[in-house]
Amino acid sequence: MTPLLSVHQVVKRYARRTGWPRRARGWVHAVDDVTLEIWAGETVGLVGESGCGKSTLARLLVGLARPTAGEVRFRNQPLIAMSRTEARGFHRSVQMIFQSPLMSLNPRMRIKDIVAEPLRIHRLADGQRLRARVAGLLEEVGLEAVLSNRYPHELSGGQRQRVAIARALAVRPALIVCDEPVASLDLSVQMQILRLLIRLQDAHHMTYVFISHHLGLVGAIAHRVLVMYLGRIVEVGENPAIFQHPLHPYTQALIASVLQPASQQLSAPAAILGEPTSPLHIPSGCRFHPRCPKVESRCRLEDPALIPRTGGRLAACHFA
Amino acid sequence: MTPLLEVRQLHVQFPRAPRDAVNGVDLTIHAEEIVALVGESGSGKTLTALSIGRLLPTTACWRAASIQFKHRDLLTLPDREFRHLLGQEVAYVFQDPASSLNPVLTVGEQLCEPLIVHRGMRWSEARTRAMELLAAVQLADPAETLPLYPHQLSGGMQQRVMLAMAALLNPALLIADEPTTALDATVQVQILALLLALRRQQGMAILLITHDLLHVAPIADRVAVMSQGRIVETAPTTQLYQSPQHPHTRALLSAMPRMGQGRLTHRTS
Repeated sequence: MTPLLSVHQVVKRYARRTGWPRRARGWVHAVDDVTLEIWAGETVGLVGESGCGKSTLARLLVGLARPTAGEVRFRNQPLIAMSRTEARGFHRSVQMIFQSPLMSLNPRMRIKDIVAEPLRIHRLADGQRLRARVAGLLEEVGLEAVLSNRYPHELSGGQRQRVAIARALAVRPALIVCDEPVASLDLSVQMQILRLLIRLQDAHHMTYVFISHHLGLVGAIAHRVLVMYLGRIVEVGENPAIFQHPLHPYTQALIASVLQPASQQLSAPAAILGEPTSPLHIPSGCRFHPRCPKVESRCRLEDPALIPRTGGRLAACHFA
Repeated sequence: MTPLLEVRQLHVQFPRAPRDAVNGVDLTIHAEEIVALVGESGSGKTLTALSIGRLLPTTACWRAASIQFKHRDLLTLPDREFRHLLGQEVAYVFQDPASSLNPVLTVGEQLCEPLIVHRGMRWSEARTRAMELLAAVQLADPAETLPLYPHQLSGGMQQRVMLAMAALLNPALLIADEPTTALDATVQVQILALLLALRRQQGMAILLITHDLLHVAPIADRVAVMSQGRIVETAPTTQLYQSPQHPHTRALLSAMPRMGQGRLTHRTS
Protein backbone atom coordinates (compact mmCIF):
# COMPACT_ATOMS: atom_id res chain seq x y z
CA MET A 1 0.00 0.00 0.00
CA THR A 2 1.28 3.45 -0.80
CA PRO A 3 0.54 6.47 1.38
CA LEU A 4 -1.71 9.20 0.00
CA LEU A 5 0.90 11.86 0.56
CA SER A 6 4.46 11.44 1.75
CA VAL A 7 7.27 13.78 2.63
CA HIS A 8 10.90 12.63 2.46
CA GLN A 9 13.64 14.48 4.32
CA VAL A 10 12.16 17.80 3.39
CA VAL A 11 13.97 21.02 4.21
CA LYS A 12 12.57 24.50 3.66
CA ARG A 13 14.67 27.50 4.50
CA TYR A 14 14.01 31.15 3.84
CA ALA A 15 16.65 33.81 3.37
CA ARG A 16 16.52 36.55 5.95
CA ARG A 17 16.99 39.76 4.02
CA THR A 18 17.87 42.79 6.11
CA GLY A 19 19.98 45.95 6.11
CA TRP A 20 21.07 48.04 3.18
CA PRO A 21 21.71 46.88 0.53
CA ARG A 22 19.07 44.28 1.12
CA ARG A 23 20.60 40.85 0.88
CA ALA A 24 20.41 37.48 2.54
CA ARG A 25 21.98 37.63 5.96
CA GLY A 26 21.32 34.30 7.59
CA TRP A 27 18.65 31.71 7.06
CA VAL A 28 15.46 30.75 8.76
CA HIS A 29 15.18 26.98 8.84
CA ALA A 30 11.40 26.71 8.91
CA VAL A 31 11.24 22.98 8.21
CA ASP A 32 14.39 20.97 8.75
CA ASP A 33 14.59 17.35 7.66
CA VAL A 34 11.01 16.16 8.07
CA THR A 35 9.81 12.77 6.89
CA LEU A 36 6.21 11.68 7.24
CA GLU A 37 3.48 9.64 5.59
CA ILE A 38 -0.20 10.44 5.42
CA TRP A 39 -2.54 7.51 4.83
CA ALA A 40 -5.94 7.68 3.15
CA GLY A 41 -8.82 8.18 5.56
CA GLU A 42 -6.86 9.32 8.60
CA THR A 43 -6.69 12.66 10.34
CA VAL A 44 -3.15 13.73 11.14
CA GLY A 45 -2.94 16.34 13.87
CA LEU A 46 0.07 18.65 13.74
CA VAL A 47 0.83 20.60 16.92
CA GLY A 48 3.51 23.05 17.93
CA GLU A 49 4.06 26.64 18.99
CA SER A 50 4.21 29.58 16.62
CA GLY A 51 7.39 29.54 14.59
CA CYS A 52 7.82 25.77 14.75
CA GLY A 53 7.24 25.41 11.01
CA LYS A 54 3.81 23.82 10.99
CA SER A 55 2.33 26.30 8.52
CA THR A 56 5.38 26.00 6.25
CA LEU A 57 4.96 22.23 6.32
CA ALA A 58 1.30 22.71 5.35
CA ARG A 59 2.32 24.87 2.40
CA LEU A 60 4.83 22.24 1.31
CA LEU A 61 2.16 19.53 1.50
CA VAL A 62 -0.24 21.33 -0.82
CA GLY A 63 2.46 22.54 -3.20
CA LEU A 64 2.21 26.24 -2.28
CA ALA A 65 5.91 26.21 -1.40
CA ARG A 66 8.75 24.25 -2.97
CA PRO A 67 11.12 22.38 -0.67
CA THR A 68 14.74 23.56 -0.55
CA ALA A 69 15.73 19.88 -0.32
CA GLY A 70 13.86 16.61 -0.16
CA GLU A 71 10.74 15.48 -1.89
CA VAL A 72 6.95 15.54 -1.51
CA ARG A 73 5.10 12.66 -3.20
CA PHE A 74 1.41 12.31 -3.90
CA ARG A 75 0.35 8.68 -4.40
CA ASN A 76 4.05 7.92 -4.68
CA GLN A 77 4.60 10.39 -7.50
CA PRO A 78 7.01 13.29 -6.82
CA LEU A 79 5.31 16.68 -7.16
CA ILE A 80 8.18 18.18 -9.14
CA ALA A 81 8.04 15.37 -11.73
CA MET A 82 4.37 15.95 -12.50
CA SER A 83 3.17 17.05 -15.93
CA ARG A 84 0.78 20.00 -16.20
CA THR A 85 -2.24 17.72 -16.35
CA GLU A 86 -1.03 15.66 -13.43
CA ALA A 87 -0.32 18.80 -11.39
CA ARG A 88 -3.85 20.00 -12.14
CA GLY A 89 -5.19 16.72 -10.85
CA PHE A 90 -3.03 17.05 -7.73
CA HIS A 91 -4.27 20.56 -7.00
CA ARG A 92 -7.81 19.29 -7.35
CA SER A 93 -7.20 16.38 -4.98
CA VAL A 94 -5.53 18.46 -2.28
CA GLN A 95 -7.33 21.46 -0.83
CA MET A 96 -6.52 23.83 1.98
CA ILE A 97 -8.48 25.72 4.64
CA PHE A 98 -6.74 28.74 6.15
CA GLN A 99 -6.82 30.28 9.59
CA SER A 100 -8.52 33.54 8.74
CA PRO A 101 -11.57 33.04 6.53
CA LEU A 102 -11.92 36.80 6.08
CA MET A 103 -8.49 36.99 4.50
CA SER A 104 -8.83 33.82 2.44
CA LEU A 105 -12.20 34.75 0.90
CA ASN A 106 -12.29 37.37 -1.85
CA PRO A 107 -14.18 40.37 -0.39
CA ARG A 108 -15.57 41.35 -3.82
CA MET A 109 -17.15 37.98 -4.56
CA ARG A 110 -20.54 36.69 -3.43
CA ILE A 111 -20.63 33.48 -1.40
CA LYS A 112 -22.11 31.48 -4.29
CA ASP A 113 -19.33 32.63 -6.64
CA ILE A 114 -16.64 31.82 -4.08
CA VAL A 115 -17.92 28.26 -3.79
CA ALA A 116 -18.44 27.97 -7.55
CA GLU A 117 -14.98 29.21 -8.52
CA PRO A 118 -13.08 25.92 -8.04
CA LEU A 119 -15.79 24.10 -9.99
CA ARG A 120 -15.41 26.57 -12.86
CA ILE A 121 -11.62 26.42 -12.81
CA HIS A 122 -11.54 22.64 -12.91
CA ARG A 123 -14.45 22.61 -15.44
CA LEU A 124 -16.49 20.27 -13.29
CA ALA A 125 -19.89 21.85 -13.77
CA ASP A 126 -21.64 24.79 -15.41
CA GLY A 127 -25.04 26.38 -15.80
CA GLN A 128 -27.90 24.73 -13.97
CA ARG A 129 -25.71 21.90 -12.64
CA LEU A 130 -23.21 24.35 -11.19
CA ARG A 131 -25.94 26.27 -9.38
CA ALA A 132 -27.42 23.05 -8.01
CA ARG A 133 -24.00 21.83 -6.87
CA VAL A 134 -23.25 25.12 -5.07
CA ALA A 135 -26.64 25.01 -3.33
CA GLY A 136 -25.96 21.42 -2.30
CA LEU A 137 -22.52 22.32 -0.92
CA LEU A 138 -23.85 25.24 1.11
CA GLU A 139 -26.54 23.01 2.56
CA GLU A 140 -23.99 20.34 3.38
CA VAL A 141 -21.88 22.73 5.49
CA GLY A 142 -24.98 24.07 7.23
CA LEU A 143 -25.40 27.46 5.53
CA GLU A 144 -28.85 28.78 4.65
CA ALA A 145 -29.59 29.38 0.98
CA VAL A 146 -30.30 33.09 1.59
CA LEU A 147 -26.63 33.61 2.43
CA SER A 148 -25.47 32.64 -1.06
CA ASN A 149 -25.97 36.18 -2.38
CA ARG A 150 -24.11 37.83 0.49
CA TYR A 151 -20.50 38.99 0.64
CA PRO A 152 -17.96 37.58 3.15
CA HIS A 153 -18.03 40.69 5.40
CA GLU A 154 -21.76 40.16 5.95
CA LEU A 155 -21.22 36.77 7.60
CA SER A 156 -20.09 35.80 11.08
CA GLY A 157 -16.69 34.16 11.62
CA GLY A 158 -18.20 30.69 11.91
CA GLN A 159 -20.27 31.14 8.75
CA ARG A 160 -17.21 32.36 6.84
CA GLN A 161 -15.24 29.30 7.87
CA ARG A 162 -18.16 27.15 6.65
CA VAL A 163 -17.87 28.91 3.28
CA ALA A 164 -14.14 28.12 3.20
CA ILE A 165 -14.97 24.48 3.93
CA ALA A 166 -17.62 24.38 1.19
CA ARG A 167 -15.09 25.82 -1.28
CA ALA A 168 -12.51 23.20 -0.34
CA LEU A 169 -15.14 20.47 -0.58
CA ALA A 170 -16.43 21.59 -4.00
CA VAL A 171 -13.88 19.65 -6.05
CA ARG A 172 -14.28 16.46 -3.93
CA PRO A 173 -10.68 16.40 -2.71
CA ALA A 174 -8.93 13.38 -1.27
CA LEU A 175 -7.02 15.48 1.26
CA ILE A 176 -7.79 18.74 3.03
CA VAL A 177 -5.03 20.53 4.90
CA CYS A 178 -6.62 22.66 7.63
CA ASP A 179 -4.21 25.28 8.98
CA GLU A 180 -5.58 26.52 12.33
CA PRO A 181 -9.12 26.41 10.92
CA VAL A 182 -10.85 27.38 14.16
CA ALA A 183 -8.27 29.55 15.95
CA SER A 184 -10.14 32.77 15.16
CA LEU A 185 -13.51 31.47 16.35
CA ASP A 186 -15.38 31.34 19.66
CA LEU A 187 -15.06 28.15 21.66
CA SER A 188 -18.63 26.96 21.10
CA VAL A 189 -18.33 27.66 17.36
CA GLN A 190 -14.98 25.84 17.28
CA MET A 191 -16.69 22.65 18.42
CA GLN A 192 -19.44 23.02 15.80
CA ILE A 193 -16.84 23.37 13.05
CA LEU A 194 -14.89 20.35 14.34
CA ARG A 195 -18.06 18.25 14.33
CA LEU A 196 -18.83 19.45 10.80
CA LEU A 197 -15.32 18.45 9.64
CA ILE A 198 -15.69 15.00 11.21
CA ARG A 199 -19.16 14.50 9.66
CA LEU A 200 -17.85 15.49 6.21
CA GLN A 201 -14.87 13.18 6.59
CA ASP A 202 -17.16 10.23 7.34
CA ALA A 203 -19.46 11.11 4.45
CA HIS A 204 -16.77 11.62 1.80
CA HIS A 205 -13.92 9.39 3.07
CA MET A 206 -11.51 12.26 3.10
CA THR A 207 -8.08 12.59 4.72
CA TYR A 208 -7.24 15.57 6.90
CA VAL A 209 -4.10 17.24 8.09
CA PHE A 210 -5.28 19.34 11.03
CA ILE A 211 -2.83 21.98 12.24
CA SER A 212 -3.26 23.76 15.55
CA HIS A 213 -1.28 24.99 18.53
CA HIS A 214 -4.17 23.86 20.73
CA LEU A 215 -3.76 20.28 21.96
CA GLY A 216 -7.37 20.03 23.10
CA LEU A 217 -8.63 20.68 19.56
CA VAL A 218 -6.17 18.27 17.98
CA GLY A 219 -7.16 15.64 20.54
CA ALA A 220 -10.78 16.08 19.54
CA ILE A 221 -10.25 15.34 15.84
CA ALA A 222 -6.94 13.56 15.11
CA HIS A 223 -6.29 9.84 14.79
CA ARG A 224 -2.55 10.37 14.89
CA VAL A 225 -0.65 13.31 16.36
CA LEU A 226 2.66 14.81 15.23
CA VAL A 227 4.41 17.21 17.58
CA MET A 228 6.72 19.75 15.91
CA TYR A 229 9.44 21.81 17.51
CA LEU A 230 11.71 24.27 15.66
CA GLY A 231 11.28 22.67 12.25
CA ARG A 232 11.54 19.06 13.41
CA ILE A 233 9.03 16.41 14.32
CA VAL A 234 9.85 15.40 17.90
CA GLU A 235 7.10 12.88 18.64
CA VAL A 236 4.51 10.88 16.69
CA GLY A 237 1.78 8.82 18.35
CA GLU A 238 -1.79 7.65 18.29
CA ASN A 239 -4.55 9.70 19.87
CA PRO A 240 -5.30 9.46 22.82
CA ALA A 241 -2.26 7.34 23.81
CA ILE A 242 0.17 10.21 23.10
CA PHE A 243 -1.73 12.44 25.53
CA GLN A 244 -1.93 9.77 28.20
CA HIS A 245 1.75 8.75 28.02
CA PRO A 246 3.78 11.46 26.29
CA LEU A 247 7.43 10.45 25.84
CA HIS A 248 9.11 13.66 24.73
CA PRO A 249 9.59 16.36 27.40
CA TYR A 250 8.25 18.94 24.95
CA THR A 251 5.02 17.00 24.46
CA GLN A 252 4.78 16.68 28.24
CA ALA A 253 5.19 20.43 28.63
CA LEU A 254 2.58 21.14 25.94
CA ILE A 255 0.12 18.86 27.71
CA ALA A 256 0.83 20.53 31.04
CA SER A 257 -0.01 23.88 29.46
CA VAL A 258 -3.53 22.79 28.48
CA LEU A 259 -5.98 24.21 30.96
CA GLN A 260 -8.50 21.72 32.28
CA PRO A 261 -11.77 22.68 33.95
CA ALA A 262 -10.85 20.72 37.05
CA SER A 263 -7.41 22.32 37.44
CA GLN A 264 -7.57 24.92 40.16
CA GLN A 265 -3.82 25.39 40.12
CA LEU A 266 -1.59 26.47 37.29
CA SER A 267 0.61 23.47 36.71
CA ALA A 268 4.29 23.92 37.47
CA PRO A 269 5.98 22.22 34.46
CA ALA A 270 4.52 24.70 32.00
CA ALA A 271 5.72 27.68 34.00
CA ILE A 272 9.42 26.86 33.52
CA LEU A 273 9.11 26.57 29.76
CA GLY A 274 9.81 30.16 28.71
CA GLU A 275 9.42 31.64 25.26
CA PRO A 276 9.76 29.55 22.11
CA THR A 277 13.30 29.70 20.73
CA SER A 278 13.70 31.68 17.51
CA PRO A 279 14.20 29.57 14.36
CA LEU A 280 16.98 32.01 13.42
CA HIS A 281 19.28 30.67 16.12
CA ILE A 282 18.80 26.93 16.30
CA PRO A 283 20.51 25.50 19.40
CA SER A 284 23.24 22.89 19.11
CA GLY A 285 22.50 19.26 19.87
CA CYS A 286 18.87 18.67 20.79
CA ARG A 287 16.88 21.73 19.74
CA PHE A 288 14.75 21.61 22.84
CA HIS A 289 17.63 21.57 25.33
CA PRO A 290 17.53 25.26 26.41
CA ARG A 291 13.96 24.80 27.64
CA CYS A 292 14.08 21.16 28.67
CA PRO A 293 13.69 20.21 32.34
CA LYS A 294 15.62 16.95 31.81
CA VAL A 295 18.62 18.48 30.03
CA GLU A 296 22.05 16.84 30.47
CA SER A 297 25.43 17.53 28.88
CA ARG A 298 24.78 14.97 26.13
CA CYS A 299 21.74 16.94 24.94
CA ARG A 300 23.86 20.00 24.15
CA LEU A 301 26.07 17.99 21.81
CA GLU A 302 24.09 15.18 20.22
CA ASP A 303 20.98 15.74 18.14
CA PRO A 304 18.56 12.89 18.97
CA ALA A 305 16.98 11.06 16.02
CA LEU A 306 13.26 10.40 15.67
CA ILE A 307 13.26 6.64 16.34
CA PRO A 308 10.56 4.04 17.07
CA ARG A 309 9.65 3.31 20.69
CA THR A 310 7.18 0.89 22.23
CA GLY A 311 3.56 0.98 21.09
CA GLY A 312 4.27 2.31 17.59
CA ARG A 313 5.44 5.63 19.04
CA LEU A 314 8.24 7.72 17.54
CA ALA A 315 10.18 10.12 19.73
CA ALA A 316 13.33 12.21 19.33
CA CYS A 317 14.80 12.36 22.83
CA HIS A 318 17.84 10.72 24.44
CA PHE A 319 15.79 9.80 27.50
CA ALA A 320 12.49 8.71 25.95
CA MET B 1 -16.64 46.39 52.91
CA THR B 2 -17.35 48.73 50.06
CA PRO B 3 -16.37 47.38 46.67
CA LEU B 4 -13.52 48.83 44.64
CA LEU B 5 -15.68 49.18 41.59
CA GLU B 6 -19.44 49.05 41.42
CA VAL B 7 -21.28 49.35 38.12
CA ARG B 8 -25.07 49.49 38.24
CA GLN B 9 -27.48 49.18 35.34
CA LEU B 10 -25.04 49.80 32.51
CA HIS B 11 -26.56 50.11 29.05
CA VAL B 12 -24.69 50.52 25.78
CA GLN B 13 -26.50 50.97 22.49
CA PHE B 14 -25.58 51.65 18.91
CA PRO B 15 -27.73 53.67 16.51
CA ARG B 16 -30.19 51.53 14.51
CA ALA B 17 -29.28 48.37 16.49
CA PRO B 18 -32.32 46.21 17.31
CA ARG B 19 -31.34 45.77 20.96
CA ASP B 20 -28.96 47.21 23.52
CA ALA B 21 -25.47 45.73 23.10
CA VAL B 22 -25.11 45.89 26.87
CA ASN B 23 -28.46 45.63 28.58
CA GLY B 24 -28.49 46.47 32.27
CA VAL B 25 -25.22 45.04 33.56
CA ASP B 26 -24.43 45.11 37.30
CA LEU B 27 -20.84 44.37 38.20
CA THR B 28 -18.91 44.67 41.45
CA ILE B 29 -15.21 44.07 41.99
CA HIS B 30 -13.64 44.12 45.44
CA ALA B 31 -10.05 45.11 46.13
CA GLU B 32 -7.54 42.37 45.20
CA GLU B 33 -10.27 40.26 43.63
CA ILE B 34 -9.97 38.57 40.24
CA VAL B 35 -13.31 38.61 38.47
CA ALA B 36 -13.76 36.95 35.09
CA LEU B 37 -16.30 38.17 32.58
CA VAL B 38 -17.00 35.32 30.18
CA GLY B 39 -19.11 35.28 27.05
CA GLU B 40 -19.10 34.65 23.33
CA SER B 41 -18.26 37.32 20.78
CA GLY B 42 -21.04 39.88 20.65
CA SER B 43 -22.18 39.20 24.20
CA GLY B 44 -21.14 42.70 25.31
CA LYS B 45 -18.23 41.79 27.56
CA THR B 46 -15.69 44.05 25.85
CA LEU B 47 -18.15 46.97 25.67
CA THR B 48 -18.75 46.61 29.41
CA ALA B 49 -15.02 46.78 30.03
CA LEU B 50 -14.49 49.74 27.70
CA SER B 51 -17.32 51.80 29.20
CA ILE B 52 -15.64 51.71 32.62
CA GLY B 53 -12.70 53.64 31.15
CA ARG B 54 -14.82 55.84 28.82
CA LEU B 55 -13.10 54.15 25.90
CA LEU B 56 -16.20 53.25 23.87
CA PRO B 57 -16.30 54.23 20.21
CA THR B 58 -17.94 57.61 19.66
CA THR B 59 -20.91 56.03 17.87
CA ALA B 60 -21.96 54.22 21.03
CA CYS B 61 -24.50 55.70 23.46
CA TRP B 62 -24.14 54.58 27.03
CA ARG B 63 -25.84 55.24 30.34
CA ALA B 64 -25.68 53.76 33.80
CA ALA B 65 -27.46 54.18 37.10
CA SER B 66 -24.09 54.60 38.76
CA ILE B 67 -20.41 53.74 38.41
CA GLN B 68 -18.53 54.05 41.69
CA PHE B 69 -14.77 53.59 41.90
CA LYS B 70 -13.03 54.06 45.25
CA HIS B 71 -15.95 56.15 46.55
CA ARG B 72 -15.81 58.39 43.51
CA ASP B 73 -18.65 58.77 41.09
CA LEU B 74 -17.15 58.07 37.66
CA LEU B 75 -20.28 59.28 35.88
CA THR B 76 -19.85 62.89 36.98
CA LEU B 77 -16.06 63.03 37.12
CA PRO B 78 -14.78 65.71 34.70
CA ASP B 79 -12.71 64.44 31.76
CA ARG B 80 -9.54 66.11 33.09
CA GLU B 81 -9.69 64.25 36.38
CA PHE B 82 -10.80 61.08 34.66
CA ARG B 83 -7.68 61.10 32.48
CA HIS B 84 -5.62 61.29 35.63
CA LEU B 85 -7.41 58.24 36.99
CA LEU B 86 -6.93 56.19 33.85
CA GLY B 87 -3.49 54.63 33.83
CA GLN B 88 -2.79 55.49 37.45
CA GLU B 89 -5.75 53.76 39.07
CA VAL B 90 -7.30 51.79 36.24
CA ALA B 91 -5.09 50.16 33.63
CA TYR B 92 -5.99 48.21 30.52
CA VAL B 93 -4.35 45.33 28.66
CA PHE B 94 -5.85 44.38 25.31
CA GLN B 95 -5.93 41.27 23.18
CA ASP B 96 -3.44 42.28 20.53
CA PRO B 97 -0.21 43.53 22.09
CA ALA B 98 1.28 44.38 18.70
CA SER B 99 -1.34 47.05 18.04
CA SER B 100 -1.41 48.35 21.62
CA LEU B 101 2.28 49.19 21.67
CA ASN B 102 3.64 52.24 19.84
CA PRO B 103 5.68 50.89 16.92
CA VAL B 104 7.99 53.93 16.66
CA LEU B 105 9.05 54.05 20.32
CA THR B 106 11.39 51.61 22.00
CA VAL B 107 10.14 49.49 24.88
CA GLY B 108 12.19 51.62 27.26
CA GLU B 109 10.74 54.93 26.00
CA GLN B 110 7.18 53.60 26.31
CA LEU B 111 7.75 52.26 29.80
CA CYS B 112 9.51 55.36 31.11
CA GLU B 113 7.06 57.93 29.72
CA PRO B 114 4.23 57.34 32.26
CA LEU B 115 6.71 57.45 35.13
CA ILE B 116 8.10 60.78 33.93
CA VAL B 117 4.68 62.28 33.21
CA HIS B 118 2.70 61.00 36.20
CA ARG B 119 5.39 60.60 38.82
CA GLY B 120 7.83 63.31 37.75
CA MET B 121 10.75 60.88 37.73
CA ARG B 122 14.05 61.54 35.97
CA TRP B 123 15.02 59.36 33.02
CA SER B 124 17.60 57.44 35.02
CA GLU B 125 15.14 56.69 37.85
CA ALA B 126 12.42 55.73 35.39
CA ARG B 127 14.83 53.42 33.62
CA THR B 128 15.66 51.57 36.81
CA ARG B 129 11.98 51.20 37.70
CA ALA B 130 11.15 50.03 34.15
CA MET B 131 13.83 47.34 34.41
CA GLU B 132 12.43 46.19 37.75
CA LEU B 133 9.02 45.76 36.19
CA LEU B 134 10.34 43.94 33.15
CA ALA B 135 12.05 41.57 35.56
CA ALA B 136 8.77 41.21 37.48
CA VAL B 137 6.96 40.09 34.30
CA GLN B 138 9.74 37.54 33.79
CA LEU B 139 11.32 38.93 30.67
CA ALA B 140 14.62 37.11 30.34
CA ASP B 141 16.87 40.11 29.88
CA PRO B 142 15.36 43.49 30.90
CA ALA B 143 18.44 45.59 30.08
CA GLU B 144 18.61 44.20 26.56
CA THR B 145 14.87 44.55 26.00
CA LEU B 146 14.69 48.29 26.76
CA PRO B 147 16.30 49.53 23.50
CA LEU B 148 14.22 47.16 21.32
CA TYR B 149 11.20 48.13 19.27
CA PRO B 150 7.92 46.18 19.68
CA HIS B 151 8.24 44.39 16.32
CA GLN B 152 11.51 42.84 17.48
CA LEU B 153 9.69 40.97 20.26
CA SER B 154 7.57 37.83 20.06
CA GLY B 155 3.86 38.00 20.89
CA GLY B 156 4.39 36.63 24.37
CA MET B 157 7.17 39.13 25.09
CA GLN B 158 5.01 41.99 23.78
CA GLN B 159 2.20 40.97 26.10
CA ARG B 160 4.66 40.87 29.01
CA VAL B 161 5.74 44.42 28.15
CA MET B 162 2.06 45.45 28.07
CA LEU B 163 1.54 43.93 31.51
CA ALA B 164 4.64 45.69 32.83
CA MET B 165 3.32 48.97 31.47
CA ALA B 166 -0.09 48.39 33.01
CA ALA B 167 1.44 47.58 36.40
CA LEU B 168 3.90 50.50 36.23
CA LEU B 169 1.87 53.04 38.20
CA ASN B 170 0.52 50.42 40.59
CA PRO B 171 -3.16 50.67 39.61
CA ALA B 172 -5.90 49.38 41.89
CA LEU B 173 -7.73 47.77 38.99
CA LEU B 174 -6.36 46.04 35.89
CA ILE B 175 -8.81 45.38 33.08
CA ALA B 176 -7.43 42.61 30.86
CA ASP B 177 -9.44 42.06 27.67
CA GLU B 178 -8.59 38.63 26.21
CA PRO B 179 -4.93 39.03 27.21
CA THR B 180 -3.96 35.48 26.16
CA THR B 181 -6.08 34.83 23.07
CA ALA B 182 -3.38 35.82 20.56
CA LEU B 183 -0.70 33.71 22.25
CA ASP B 184 0.55 30.13 22.14
CA ALA B 185 -0.90 27.71 24.68
CA THR B 186 2.42 27.38 26.50
CA VAL B 187 2.74 31.15 26.80
CA GLN B 188 -0.94 31.56 27.76
CA VAL B 189 -0.37 29.64 30.98
CA GLN B 190 2.64 31.80 31.78
CA ILE B 191 0.70 35.02 31.27
CA LEU B 192 -2.12 33.76 33.51
CA ALA B 193 0.44 32.87 36.18
CA LEU B 194 1.84 36.38 35.78
CA LEU B 195 -1.58 37.95 36.42
CA LEU B 196 -1.78 35.97 39.66
CA ALA B 197 1.71 37.12 40.63
CA LEU B 198 0.85 40.78 39.92
CA ARG B 199 -2.18 40.51 42.19
CA ARG B 200 -0.05 39.00 44.93
CA GLN B 201 2.82 41.50 44.63
CA GLN B 202 0.90 44.70 43.98
CA GLY B 203 -2.50 43.85 45.42
CA MET B 204 -4.39 44.86 42.30
CA ALA B 205 -7.87 43.72 41.43
CA ILE B 206 -8.25 42.22 37.95
CA LEU B 207 -11.21 42.12 35.59
CA LEU B 208 -10.37 39.31 33.16
CA ILE B 209 -12.40 39.21 29.99
CA THR B 210 -12.36 36.04 27.92
CA HIS B 211 -14.47 33.77 25.75
CA ASP B 212 -12.78 30.69 27.13
CA LEU B 213 -14.00 29.39 30.48
CA LEU B 214 -10.84 27.29 30.80
CA HIS B 215 -8.73 30.43 31.17
CA VAL B 216 -10.77 31.39 34.15
CA ALA B 217 -10.51 28.19 36.16
CA PRO B 218 -7.00 28.54 37.53
CA ILE B 219 -7.01 32.22 38.46
CA ALA B 220 -10.44 33.83 38.95
CA ASP B 221 -12.16 34.13 42.32
CA ARG B 222 -15.53 34.81 40.77
CA VAL B 223 -17.02 34.39 37.29
CA ALA B 224 -19.75 36.41 35.60
CA VAL B 225 -21.20 34.80 32.48
CA MET B 226 -22.55 37.19 29.84
CA SER B 227 -24.95 36.48 27.04
CA GLN B 228 -26.69 38.93 24.71
CA GLY B 229 -25.84 41.99 26.75
CA ARG B 230 -26.83 40.60 30.13
CA ILE B 231 -25.02 38.87 32.95
CA VAL B 232 -26.87 35.57 33.22
CA GLU B 233 -24.96 34.01 36.09
CA THR B 234 -22.42 35.06 38.69
CA ALA B 235 -20.79 32.57 41.03
CA PRO B 236 -17.52 31.75 42.75
CA THR B 237 -15.35 29.84 40.25
CA THR B 238 -15.44 26.39 41.87
CA GLN B 239 -19.19 26.60 42.38
CA LEU B 240 -19.72 27.62 38.74
CA TYR B 241 -17.83 24.56 37.52
CA GLN B 242 -19.50 22.16 39.92
CA SER B 243 -23.08 23.33 39.58
CA PRO B 244 -23.70 25.72 36.70
CA GLN B 245 -27.21 27.12 37.05
CA HIS B 246 -27.93 28.88 33.79
CA PRO B 247 -28.36 26.84 30.59
CA HIS B 248 -25.96 29.19 28.78
CA THR B 249 -23.21 28.46 31.32
CA ARG B 250 -23.82 24.75 30.90
CA ALA B 251 -23.58 25.14 27.12
CA LEU B 252 -20.27 27.01 27.47
CA LEU B 253 -18.89 24.33 29.77
CA SER B 254 -19.94 21.47 27.51
CA ALA B 255 -18.32 23.20 24.52
CA MET B 256 -14.87 22.71 26.01
CA PRO B 257 -12.67 20.06 24.44
CA ARG B 258 -11.28 17.51 26.90
CA MET B 259 -7.85 16.27 26.03
CA GLY B 260 -6.95 12.60 26.17
CA GLN B 261 -10.48 11.35 25.65
CA GLY B 262 -10.08 10.57 21.99
CA ARG B 263 -11.93 11.95 19.00
CA LEU B 264 -15.28 13.65 19.00
CA THR B 265 -18.11 12.01 17.17
CA HIS B 266 -20.46 14.16 15.15
CA ARG B 267 -23.40 12.20 16.52
CA THR B 268 -23.09 13.67 19.99
CA SER B 269 -23.88 17.18 18.80
